[in-house]
Amino acid sequence: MTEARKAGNQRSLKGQMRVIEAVMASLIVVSAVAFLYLFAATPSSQSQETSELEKIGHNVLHDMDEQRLLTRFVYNSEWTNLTSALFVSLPTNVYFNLSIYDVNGRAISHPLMQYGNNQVFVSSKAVASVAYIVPGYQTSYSPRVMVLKLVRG
Amino acid sequence: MTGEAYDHLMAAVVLGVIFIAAVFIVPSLSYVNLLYMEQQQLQNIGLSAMKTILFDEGYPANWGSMHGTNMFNESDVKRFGLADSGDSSLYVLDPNKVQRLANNPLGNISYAKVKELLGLSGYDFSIVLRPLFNVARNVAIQRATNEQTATITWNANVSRQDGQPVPKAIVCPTVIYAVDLNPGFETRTVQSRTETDSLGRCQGSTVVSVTGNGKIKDVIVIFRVTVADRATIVVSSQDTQDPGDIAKINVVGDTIVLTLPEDVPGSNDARWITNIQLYNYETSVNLLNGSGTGNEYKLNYGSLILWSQAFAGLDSTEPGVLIITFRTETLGPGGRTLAILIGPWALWNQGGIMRFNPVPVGSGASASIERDVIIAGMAYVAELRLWKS
Repeated sequence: MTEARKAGNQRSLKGQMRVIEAVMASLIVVSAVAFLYLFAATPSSQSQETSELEKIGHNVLHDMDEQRLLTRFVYNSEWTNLTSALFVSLPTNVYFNLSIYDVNGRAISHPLMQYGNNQVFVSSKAVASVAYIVPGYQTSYSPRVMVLKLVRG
Repeated sequence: MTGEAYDHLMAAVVLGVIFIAAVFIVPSLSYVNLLYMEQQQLQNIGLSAMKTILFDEGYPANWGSMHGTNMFNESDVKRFGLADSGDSSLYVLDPNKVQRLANNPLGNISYAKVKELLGLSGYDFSIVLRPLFNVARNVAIQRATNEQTATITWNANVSRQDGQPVPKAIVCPTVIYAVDLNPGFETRTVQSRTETDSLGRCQGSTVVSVTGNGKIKDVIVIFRVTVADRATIVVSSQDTQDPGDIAKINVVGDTIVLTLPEDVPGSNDARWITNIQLYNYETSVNLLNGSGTGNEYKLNYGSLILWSQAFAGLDSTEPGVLIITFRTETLGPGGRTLAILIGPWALWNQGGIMRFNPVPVGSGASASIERDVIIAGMAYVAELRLWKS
């Protein structure tokens, strides 16, 4: 009788050990999966974000060009108007910096045309850059390359 | 033997609990990624839909005006898009198509039809058209008891969509007032110009007066607000009656279509068109001078529920604001009076926003895409918001 009880106790202990083993094995599997998720590559949003900002930038410059405002601002040096037009036309959370070059890549002298401080452009991971060319004003052919940098605030 | 059975049972329960917990815990570990993926998916679908809406002219290419002044039949539209077929530039929308998105007495395209044509089953969306910047304004009109003088005081507050003030915006209020000359009618305008201060605010007042038998009736103010030559138009009035209750204004190609609204106060009373002007900020052209009586320029319940007339070159006039004066019944005492309506754009009304299927309150993840567009020569912002059904 005593022998039988001992054997029963041993089996009971074995059963408990199996439960503990199963719990430990499950914990190992779950922690391994969790650990792997830490290293899982998150899909990058930067290219998507940059692409969207490029579309927004091109859209705004194109619309201003369509309304014949862009060439007037650029060739008549209406820099304040150009900055204001971009300020009201771009979405409210988008900062911009505009530079203008001639066809040889030489910068055209103009005051700073920017909304947002420099730090925004330096620290942002997704800076979009849109190049837009205006060929000339009225009958004169004198192309200008506008480079509009955009970041989301 | 019984103890062993209990052990196995306990082991099965514990393992079951661990399995179920794992099923819930593991996906939650990747929840952020899943949410992000869903957002990206919505954004991509939204971009594709927006591209179709803005760049595609649809089929037939003139679907917005193909029925002329007859009732619009949406089943004739085989492909949806708002681009202007007569303009090769991008982001230029056809006003005739945009008008079909609003509640239109000549028929409009339904949300279900647009959703079907865009292939957006499983998703819902809204389209919002609004001016580039906000113009909050207030107009107070004080008439003298003899109705020969009126003092119009106004103020405007110009800001970006986020509430940031826009300084140095040029505000040109045009006061338009209808005069009953007894006999005859006239619509007169007074224009002024000012700039917003550093807080985007400006104000002013104008006194208008008439002599002889003339009496000033309805007065409205059109605000043209310009920032760096990018302009927006809003209208203010002190209407005691909804302008839409007097008549609905539509333009199909070169034709002005006026319709009598149904089931509104005074919808059975006749209205006479006394004057139609095309206003272009600097100039105003008189298109029509009605007699104020007779059936020729009358809207009435029954056979005269719709009035239309073509005006050569109207379609190419961009931007063109129609100022239409009616002789109509008042809701209060005083008999017939003059009322001024502005058309054809709902965007110029008091609200200044046009919505196609409003966004449901408390909807979950959604994607929002904004683009600047040109409608009838003026810049607006088109916003598409997309979410899962």
